[in-house]
Order: sequence, then C-alpha cells, then structure tokens
Amino acid sequence: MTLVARNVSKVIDDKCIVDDFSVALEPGKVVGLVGPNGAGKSTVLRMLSGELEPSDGAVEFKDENLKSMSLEALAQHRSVVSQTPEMSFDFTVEEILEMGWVQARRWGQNHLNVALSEVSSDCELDDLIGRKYRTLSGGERQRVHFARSLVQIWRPFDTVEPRFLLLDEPTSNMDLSYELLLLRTVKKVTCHGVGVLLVLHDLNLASRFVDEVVLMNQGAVVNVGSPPSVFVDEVLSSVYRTPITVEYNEDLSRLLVHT
Amino acid sequence: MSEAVRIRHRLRLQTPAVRLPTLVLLGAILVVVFLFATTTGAVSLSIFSIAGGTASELERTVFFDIRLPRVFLAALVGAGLAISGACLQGLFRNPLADPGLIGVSSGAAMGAVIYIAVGSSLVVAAWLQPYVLSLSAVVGAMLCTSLLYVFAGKFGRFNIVSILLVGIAVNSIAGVVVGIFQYVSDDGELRSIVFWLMGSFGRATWTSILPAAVLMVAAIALLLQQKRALDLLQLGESEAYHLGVNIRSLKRRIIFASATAVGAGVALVGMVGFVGLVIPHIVRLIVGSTNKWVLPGSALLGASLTVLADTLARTAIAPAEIPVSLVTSALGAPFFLWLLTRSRFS
Repeated sequence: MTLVARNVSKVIDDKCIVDDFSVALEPGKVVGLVGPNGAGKSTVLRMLSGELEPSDGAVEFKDENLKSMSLEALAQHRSVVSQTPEMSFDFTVEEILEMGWVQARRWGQNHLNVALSEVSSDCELDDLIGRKYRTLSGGERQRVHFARSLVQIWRPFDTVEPRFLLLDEPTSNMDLSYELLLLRTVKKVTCHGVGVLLVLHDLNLASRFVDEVVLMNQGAVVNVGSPPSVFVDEVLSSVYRTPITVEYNEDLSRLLVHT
Repeated sequence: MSEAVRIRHRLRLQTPAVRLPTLVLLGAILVVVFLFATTTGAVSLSIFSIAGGTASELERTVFFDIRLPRVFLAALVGAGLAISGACLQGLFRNPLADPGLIGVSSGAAMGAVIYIAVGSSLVVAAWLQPYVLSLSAVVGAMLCTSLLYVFAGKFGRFNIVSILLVGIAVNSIAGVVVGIFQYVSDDGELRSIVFWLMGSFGRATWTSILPAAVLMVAAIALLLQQKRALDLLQLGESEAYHLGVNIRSLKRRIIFASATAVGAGVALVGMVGFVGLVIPHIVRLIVGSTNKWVLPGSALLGASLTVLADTLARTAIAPAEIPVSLVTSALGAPFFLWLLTRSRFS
C-alpha cells in the first residue's frame, strides 16, 4: 500500500541530477524532503508523480510500476502541487477547484459538492470561492491549488483507500498563519489514509510537521530518519555550507534550527 | 433544501444551470439568423409559403438550391473557425492564437492558389472538376499542418514555443509559394486568386459542400469532446498530466481536428478572417472561461456571425457582393472593442 521509489537515478544531458535515491511513502505518514537548492528534490518529486521517467530504478504504486498504470487511475490516487501556474484565461476559484475533480465517473455531483465544501472550509476558502483567480494574491493562489489537490484525492469519510499527496514547497508564498493552516491540514488528511511527500525549505517547520525526513545533497541522500536524528549541527552546516545550530527548546518542546 | 443545494448556497456557488440559458439563447439567435438569411436577398421569400408548399417553383429553387446550401455552409464554416480558435487558444494557452497559427489558412490558400494558377493546364475528369479547388486547398492545409507537426515534434518535443516558431516558418513558406504563383499568374488568374483569398460563400452547392460538411461536423464533434482536458491544460502541462490528461494525444487531436474543421471550410470559401480569433473571446466574456460552455457557445455564435456577415455581404450593395472577410471584420471588431471596454478586464 505504498508509493515507493527504488534506487531511482535521473541523468539529464549527461549530468546526474538524482543518484540512487530510495524513499517509501506510506498512508498516514508525512515524509519531508529537505536540502539546498539544486539538491534534486523537485526531480525526485517529479519521478514519484510519474511525470519524469527515472533513467534507472523504478517507481511503484502498490507494487505496480507507474509506467504501466493508466493516467486516469494514477490521477485518482495521487495529486501534486508544484509551482503556482499563471492562467491565460480568467477562471473562478470554484472552477479551478472543480478541475481537481477526477472522480466524476465514481461519485456524482452531490459528492463534488460535499468535497468542495469540506476542502473549502479546511483551506479557509469560503470567501474566495466566487472570486476570479487573477484577482488573487500569490499566497491565495497557492492555497487554491493546494485545495485543488485535496479535491483530486478526496474520498467520502468512511472510504479508506491509499492516496498520496506530493507537495513541492507548497507554502513558499504564504504568510505565517496560512503556512501553519496548510501544514495542519496536511496532518489532518494523513489521518484519513493519505501519505505525503513534502518538500520544504523551512527546517523548523519540517521538524514540527514531518514524521520522517530525508536530507538530500547533490542528488544523493545524506541522511534519513526522524527530524532530531537528521537535523544535527555538523551535518546541516556542511550540507548548507553555512554554520547552522540546532537546539531543543524545552518550553516549546521542539527543535529550533537557526543560522 | 437538499444538502447539496445548501452547500452550494453557503459557498455562494454559481450553479451550472445559470450558463445554460446563455447557450439556449445563442442557439435561438442562430435559428433566427438562419431563417432571416435564407429568406433575404435578391428574391424575398416567406418561410411560411415555403413550409406550406404555396411557394412558386422559382422561389423553391432559390430557397433549396441557392440559399440553403450557402447559409448552411456559412454556418458550418463559422462554427468550425470559432471552435477551432477557442481550442487553439486553449492549447497554446494564449488568447491571441487563431487557426492561422498552425498553418491551416495559409496552407489552404497555398493549395488553392497553386490550382488557380496552374489548374487550367491540368487535365481533370469532368466529375472531379467541382471538387478540385477544394481538394487542393484541403491538401495544402493538411500538408502545412503535418509539416508543422513533424518539425515541432522533432525539434521541441511538442512544447508550445516550438509549435509557435515552426508555425511562423511554415506560414512564411506558404506565403512565399502564394507570392510566387501570384507573380507568375496572368490578369484573370490573379483576379480569381484575390477574390478567393478574400472569401465568398457564392460557390456553395449541395454537391460541393456535402463532403466538406461531413469532415467539418466530425471535426467539430471531436473538438467538443476535448473540453475538460483543455480546461485542465490551462493549469500547465505538468498539472494537466497530474490530473490524468495525455498531453501528447490532446495536442495531436486538437491540431488535426482544427486543421480539418478550418481547412475543409477555407477550401470552399476562401479566407474568412477574425471569426476564429474574436468569437471565443466574446463568448468567454459572457459565460466565463470553462470550455464546457466556451466551445459550444463559440460554435453557435461563430455560425450566427458568419451567416449574418454573408447575408450582409450579398445584400448590402446587391447585385454586387462584398468579400465576406471584410464584413466579418467590420462587424466583429468594433463589437469586440465595445465588449472589452465594458468588461471586467478593463
């Protein structure tokens, strides 16, 4: 019941972008992918989504190679948020959320309404839903696309099915409160059997919200494990090539990472 | 109040039903324009006497053999141009795209001009004679579009920029060929070329339009089916892929269906400008950007405008005819400007 990358590598124009990388996403778990710019995080995410074929190794969903799966079946079980797209034509937020509705053959219009309602309240979109997309700010747009990805893998409350959410810096344009809202929503959907891969730059947020963290550098895995075991002063300082201190704050009972 | 209605109400969602009347209205406008066009002209006809069987033999001939095929063709060409324009704008994610961009129009022009210039020296079977001009235009359109398809695939893996760049090159090649044949043709041929390029529905007869009509209807039906995939493509190619769209096959379908819808029409009537570019925008201003509404709306409005333009073209300074392309642009452009100034975009 997992989405697994087994020893995947990607070579583009003779340059090795990702080298022998493995990760397993499981329902109910958030895996964080961190590392400096150009470490290969987005390439890993694109291979896991099926968009990019690995040069070597394989990505499997429920023990089936992604290559042999239909695009439609894949779309019903994993959704992706990457960059925030520019739209040439003016859609409303509602129309964009409905674009995520890939379940039309399984569930009817009533389910779509329930999905829109749930997602809209989770992402606090009730006031934006009638607005035109092009009138929204960068952070609001990002929230809309995150909500669209939730609509895509939405299931009725009592349905348990493995689904995966791949998020590439989903909070890059958001203010502090919406950043927290999004990550709490991510935590909430994991309770309903969603497995998450989260690419984040903010190591403090990563340490608070991920169950397992994969630290990457130059296309390869440096370290894998729980945030306290991976976020170590010396390792982070050498990977990011800048002095980084990690301390455990008793009052907040969490890690604090700072330069 | 049902749960679903309550939810939509809470979220102040626009029910899809709101846009349905707009489509019905556009359909009704087409019917009215169609009736007006078939009964207006050098011989005024009454639709009631035609339907009631009290019309004279002459009136019946004018209606069934002259007006009806012409208006029918104008409607199909308009629908094909407008829906192709809407689809290509969606495919290129660019509001300025039109069927001219993928080489259809210039390819068709190339085929037609070559035939007009050298056709008199060709020996063609008599039964084929009425089709040759159209056929050479369709071949020209398909040739240019295939050329674009092959080169864009070879050099740029079908990304939009490479399609645009190859399109520019293909259009100029076709332009050069048209120019050369215009240069070497004599006065009579040149006159036919110029009139063909300006567009006219005057050549429509049932035998000449039926093959083209079948192609156009099939192509329009195929384009209508791409509505959701086109919506998703607006999010970007990666995002559409993540939502289950096979991008490569979508591009192939849209490019070839548009080429067929436009090429078959242009082959019969020559160039009709403006419809493919502007009709989709007018429709979007009314129904929003969702292609479920934009595509059928464009087909309906494109048909109405083209029929209306043709009716004006043949009645305004009767018995002479104005080239229909002049009328479509003269009618549509100011209307479009007016819509833009009062739209929310301004």
